[in-house]
Amino acid sequence: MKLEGGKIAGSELVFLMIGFTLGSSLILSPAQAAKHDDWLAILAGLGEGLVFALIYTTLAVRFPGKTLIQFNDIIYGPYLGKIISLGYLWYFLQLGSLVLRNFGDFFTTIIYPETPMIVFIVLVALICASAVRNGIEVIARCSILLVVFTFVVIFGTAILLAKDMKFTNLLPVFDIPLREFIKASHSAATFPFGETVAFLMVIPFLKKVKEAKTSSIIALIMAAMLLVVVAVRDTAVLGITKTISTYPAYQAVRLIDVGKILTRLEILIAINLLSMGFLKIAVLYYGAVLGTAQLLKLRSYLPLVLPMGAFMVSLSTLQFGSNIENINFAQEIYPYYALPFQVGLPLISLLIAILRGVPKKMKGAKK
Amino acid sequence: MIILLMAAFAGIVLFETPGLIQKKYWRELIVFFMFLLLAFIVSLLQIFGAKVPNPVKGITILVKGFLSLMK
Amino acid sequence: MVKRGSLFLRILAISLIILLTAGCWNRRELDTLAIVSGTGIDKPEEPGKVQITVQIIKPGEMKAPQAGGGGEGGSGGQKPYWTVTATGDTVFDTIREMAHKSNRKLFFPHNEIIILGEDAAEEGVQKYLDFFARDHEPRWLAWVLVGKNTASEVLETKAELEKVPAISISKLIEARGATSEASAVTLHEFLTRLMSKTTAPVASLIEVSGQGKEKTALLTGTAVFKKDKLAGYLNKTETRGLLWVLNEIKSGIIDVECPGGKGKVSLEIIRARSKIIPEIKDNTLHLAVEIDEEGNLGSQMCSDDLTSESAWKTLEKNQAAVIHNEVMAALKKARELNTDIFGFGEAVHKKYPKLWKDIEDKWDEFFPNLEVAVIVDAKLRRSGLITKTVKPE
Repeated sequence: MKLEGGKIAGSELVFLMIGFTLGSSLILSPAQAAKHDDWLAILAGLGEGLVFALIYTTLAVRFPGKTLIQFNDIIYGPYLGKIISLGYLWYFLQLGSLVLRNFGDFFTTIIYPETPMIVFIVLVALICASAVRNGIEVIARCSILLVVFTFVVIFGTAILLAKDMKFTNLLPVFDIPLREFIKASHSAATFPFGETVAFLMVIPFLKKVKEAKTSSIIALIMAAMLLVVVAVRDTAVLGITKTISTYPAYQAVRLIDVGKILTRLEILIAINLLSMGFLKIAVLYYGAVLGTAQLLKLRSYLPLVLPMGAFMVSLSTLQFGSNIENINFAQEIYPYYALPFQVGLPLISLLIAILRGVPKKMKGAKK
Repeated sequence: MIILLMAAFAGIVLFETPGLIQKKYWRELIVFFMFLLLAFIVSLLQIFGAKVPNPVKGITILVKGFLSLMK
Repeated sequence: MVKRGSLFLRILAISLIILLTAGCWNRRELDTLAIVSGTGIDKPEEPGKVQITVQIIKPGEMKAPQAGGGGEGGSGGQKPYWTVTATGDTVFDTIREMAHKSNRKLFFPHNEIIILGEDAAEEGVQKYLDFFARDHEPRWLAWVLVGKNTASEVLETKAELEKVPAISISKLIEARGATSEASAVTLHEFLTRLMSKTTAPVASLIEVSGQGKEKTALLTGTAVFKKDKLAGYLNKTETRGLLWVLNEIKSGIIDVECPGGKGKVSLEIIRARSKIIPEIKDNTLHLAVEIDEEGNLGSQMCSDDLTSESAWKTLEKNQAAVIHNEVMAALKKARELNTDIFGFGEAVHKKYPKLWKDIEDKWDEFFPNLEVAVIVDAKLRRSGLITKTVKPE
């Protein structure tokens, strides 16, 4: 019984993962707590994220064609496995709703303060729902176009801002206490790099599962490079005012003024968020829906798409009273909350799988 | 607002159920309605302004409790 | 393949949402907006209140060319702008309050200048500027000025070449490069300096001259802030001294004595570069300001032959001396006011982060006694279309 018939190529996985990792981190700069050293914190966070990715891909290669939900059953047994899977489904769904909420907050802050936030959230959720109904193959194909476009925007705005950049804003390098630096880089590792744990729902549909490791590592490194370019661009342009900006990238691009003609380009940032956030929500949403269908042994995941989307939407408006609550949660709570899902459980799973010798034993038994 | 919400959920039901019934996917239908009901209740309570338990608050308390244990 | 079709659908859907959401929830057409071109902030008599003056563009009147020398008779054509003043408790509250006077909601994205009245500036500007930094409509590229009179007076001056005074003032700032004697500070730069622990904010200084209907606004130097409170002013010479250090000199004229001493020679600044270099020598902190300048001979009012090597060298030397004096004048004023307008503190912070931690909080005691060496390297490059001056051989 196959729920997903699509197959994706290694290159498509790279683009999808870049898009996912950029996601909302394009506007909510990760490691903003590290001030002008955030680019260093992102690189340090990447180091941590790469270790995570190695754990995920080792698991995925060990259980080829099996999603996180399926191999949880094998590793932990049918009962404990289901409880852990349930935890992951909640994590994907809630993370998706957080990103939806970022959309809503962003658009109501910068462009349409009077428009009810729910309008944006529902519109975005509908697009994601239609993407999820079409399966992973379509989402992966979209990602190529969208990521290339985002790439162009990031470098284009950086070139247009070149005359406003003061690279001395990056000095002195490493100006914050080590403790705070580690805190900031760890927060960058959990948002966005570690969130790629959701790809344990996607990698099984890779045409050649062997490519998972290289693809993931390439994707994370490229995404981190883009985030560093964005962080350096914003710091060089905004200087100290970056630390109080809600959306530094938006604020920086707002300062583009080339001969009074090329100006007011901030809508580009909104489009970036729209396209990258779409990919991120789509993957999380897909993971939650497919996982639920697998957990409950359904014959199709399609009927779950809309109800779970509706739940995600109502969750997104429920969670925070204001964007300040959202920021405080993201900075203070999320880095710890994400730990069991991003490192703890995958690491334990891998250790148990190695110790128990699964799934090789299973294969042997079948023979 | 409530009418809008009802219309949206009715739309979802009309969109999905005919196909499921046709294919006799009863198990899927039950799960479908369970999730839909959950989403509907949470949305409805929010519109009425009722205090819905906020999962973020729960997570915050959990994490903070855990961190204070670590110290 | 079916899937290819749905990829196209996705792209279509995304383009659609971008296009559709670009239409507003509350549609705002051009003729329902009051487009603000300039804002002035004053402190009214009543304590604790704020007085805001905005200049609204009337697009209808902008189009019609004013016949016969532009309504000099007073009654002729309508002015293409409208200056409104209102008083309230907070900036935002006052701006919204104006809806009672203008039937349209004020629209800030085209606000080009923010003028702070002298009284308001002396009181502290953080509370006034927060709105302009926080709200999504005003742009951070607006110029920040201090009006030596009240801000509303500045906005009520007459503009000759432009139709709207606020736009005229904004163009005035953009044209500063010809003399480099007025600072130009965007809201973003002002906020950056305001957020710095040591660097003092500066803003262009604007004054009203003339009387009655012929009042015009002119830039006369720089306003200097200590934290967010107005501390004093730099005159034109001191302003250029400041701009030399900040590496913001575009062009300008340097007048020097003729080597013979009978008249003046004007040298045009072609390009200039400067660097602030902090150094620790013998356990004390020194600062060097290195300025490289290139100029052209622009005009001479004496009849000497300036093409000789010695005369040329003397001119170069005099040129360097003028620059040096300008910088020293700015430095003297900055020390008097104890305001680090040059960003020396930040330069030290960047080069000696460890040392900085110790002196950061004592910078106010450090700055007035800081040793600053000004090293000017001024070159004279070209003599223009003639070499010797026009006189019989």
